[in-house]
Amino acid sequence: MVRSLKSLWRSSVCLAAMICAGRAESQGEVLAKLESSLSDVKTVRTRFVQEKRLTLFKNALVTRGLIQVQTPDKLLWRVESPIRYVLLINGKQAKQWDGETGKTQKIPLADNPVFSAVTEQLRAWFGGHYSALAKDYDIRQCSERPASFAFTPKPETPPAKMLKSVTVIFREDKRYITSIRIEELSGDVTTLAFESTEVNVPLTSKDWEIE
Amino acid sequence: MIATLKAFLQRKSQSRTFVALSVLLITGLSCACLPFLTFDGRIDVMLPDRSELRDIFSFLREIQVADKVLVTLAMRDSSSDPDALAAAADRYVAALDPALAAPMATGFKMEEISQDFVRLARQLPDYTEPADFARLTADTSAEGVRTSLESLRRRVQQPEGMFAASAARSDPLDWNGRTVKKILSAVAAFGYRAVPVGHHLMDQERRHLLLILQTPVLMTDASGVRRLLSHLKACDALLPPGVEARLVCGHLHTAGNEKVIRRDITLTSIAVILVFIVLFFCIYRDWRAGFIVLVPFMACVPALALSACAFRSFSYIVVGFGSVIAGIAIDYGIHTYVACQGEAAEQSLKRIRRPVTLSMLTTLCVFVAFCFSSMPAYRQLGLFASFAIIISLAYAFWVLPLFVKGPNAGRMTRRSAVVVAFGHTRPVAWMTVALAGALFVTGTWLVSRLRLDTDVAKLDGTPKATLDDERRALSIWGGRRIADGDSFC
Repeated sequence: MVRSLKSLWRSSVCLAAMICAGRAESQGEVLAKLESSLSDVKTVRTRFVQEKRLTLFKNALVTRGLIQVQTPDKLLWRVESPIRYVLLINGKQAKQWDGETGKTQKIPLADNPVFSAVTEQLRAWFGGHYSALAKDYDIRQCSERPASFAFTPKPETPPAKMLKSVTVIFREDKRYITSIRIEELSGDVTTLAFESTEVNVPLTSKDWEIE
Repeated sequence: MIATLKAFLQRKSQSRTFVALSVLLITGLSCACLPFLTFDGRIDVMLPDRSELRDIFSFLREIQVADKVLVTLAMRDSSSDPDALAAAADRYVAALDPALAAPMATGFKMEEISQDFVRLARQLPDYTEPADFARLTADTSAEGVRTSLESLRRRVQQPEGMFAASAARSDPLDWNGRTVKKILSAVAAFGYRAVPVGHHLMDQERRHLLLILQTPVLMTDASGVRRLLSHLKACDALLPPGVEARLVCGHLHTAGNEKVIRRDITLTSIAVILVFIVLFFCIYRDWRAGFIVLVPFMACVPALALSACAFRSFSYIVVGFGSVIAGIAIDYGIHTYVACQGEAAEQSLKRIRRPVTLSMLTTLCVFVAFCFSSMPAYRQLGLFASFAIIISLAYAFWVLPLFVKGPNAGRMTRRSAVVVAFGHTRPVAWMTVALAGALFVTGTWLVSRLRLDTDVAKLDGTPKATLDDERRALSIWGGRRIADGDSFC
């Protein structure tokens, strides 16, 4: 009887160790899988619908537009409705175009650390630079099909002061994301759904014009 | 008992060994005191108390600029290599001794931004002016709130607002944003051109990196300044060969002034001693005449120690006037020396004591009057000179005779041609009067044309290299002019 219990205890310990090892491995594998599936993606063009549910506003704020990404560091975010606005991040330079005023503003990122940090986040999330996010987030795979991952800010990191979690759901072929859901500590929720996504589509200089 | 002591002192005062040892003891003790007293090279001691200019100097010294050291790092070949500069800056900072200088945080931490905004909100009343209250009334009207919310809605719909909807909600009227704009405008108004790059400040072209160090060493602490500058020089030596560091700080002015004054004091002292010795040896042809020169210099040491004790800090500039005092006080030694040369030296000495003392008192009156001046430098000079001439007189009357008494073998036995030419004849007297009158008239005319220069900056002995570095830093990092001079403050 005692021998059976000891054997059972040993088996349990081994199983627990295997599970722990398995979890640690899956954490590393998650990143590797994500980045390998995105590794041959050079350009992306996708339409998006952003829905913001803010406690400050009674109704959800819905924004529609287009996002273009080109590796390594080019990102265009065009808001088409209800406002007209474009943000282009190209290397160390950002440009904003405001449809209301019709003015374009150039922002050298090196001179504007706050804006630089914001654009760095956008580049990481929408450019697939997830390893850059690993230092601030615990990454957990929520489901296999569709592949979905939950990014929970690590305690004492800057995102932990604002965000509860970010959930990223990938397409079937895992080559780009179909939606991102951002939950803030305050209860505000932002969801971005991507439609008509084209991967490795040739992008000309005309596609990067902001006005 | 008193009689015994008096007799002992009278006997000992005739002993050369005892008197010489006493003088050496006084001088030695005074020298030992000097390191414990505070000396500085400030030029504002030449300005009157409670004057506007003095207030400006005090303000510049007391604001939190005086304890800063600006280090500009640049590539020696003027190229732009921000990574090399950042690495060099990190190495420089790592070598710093926190007891002498520590770097100030010039970058900012992303994780602290949200906390900074909370702190800013708490300080909002400090940045709020009457016009803001009118704006607040407008903002909190129904129309104002609608406009603000519309603006907020626009902001959160832009990609930059992706992760910060809550932050926008905490300040829907964007008061923090306006305050930040106000602060940025105020900062921009100073004309500085440094931009944060990583955790460093660089110029727009990334050719220069600015390190701002804070030091506990006061600009007025001459020995501390020497330690600080020597330490920074050692840190400089650790930089890669391609990178150079240039300093801008008030401490360099202190060191520069101190160096110039020390050099001047040494030069003038040597010059005065040499001129006096040559003069006395040529005229008296007696090696003992050299003792005359020693009188004021030996007197200056205890005088300096005594007068410096009376002030919190004593000016090097005033110490530099020591040679002037030597010129005044040497007269007592000359009179004593001459009186000691005759057969009846004691009688002659007694005869000159009253007129020489009277002469000393008239000079003393002038310097005592200085002690009540509104200018600290005059007060220091007044006390220093007063002590110096009193001690010089005492040394001349009671020390010098012991060493110069007795006939001089090489003394002039015949009247020189010059003495004959200016002998006591009526034509010579008239000629002297005419010459004095002409000199007086010329002097009066020259004085009427005299223009007083109130630029105290001319008293500044800061080396040209330091001023050049300040001008260079000003051209790189910008900044506005303060008063009439360029300032990097």
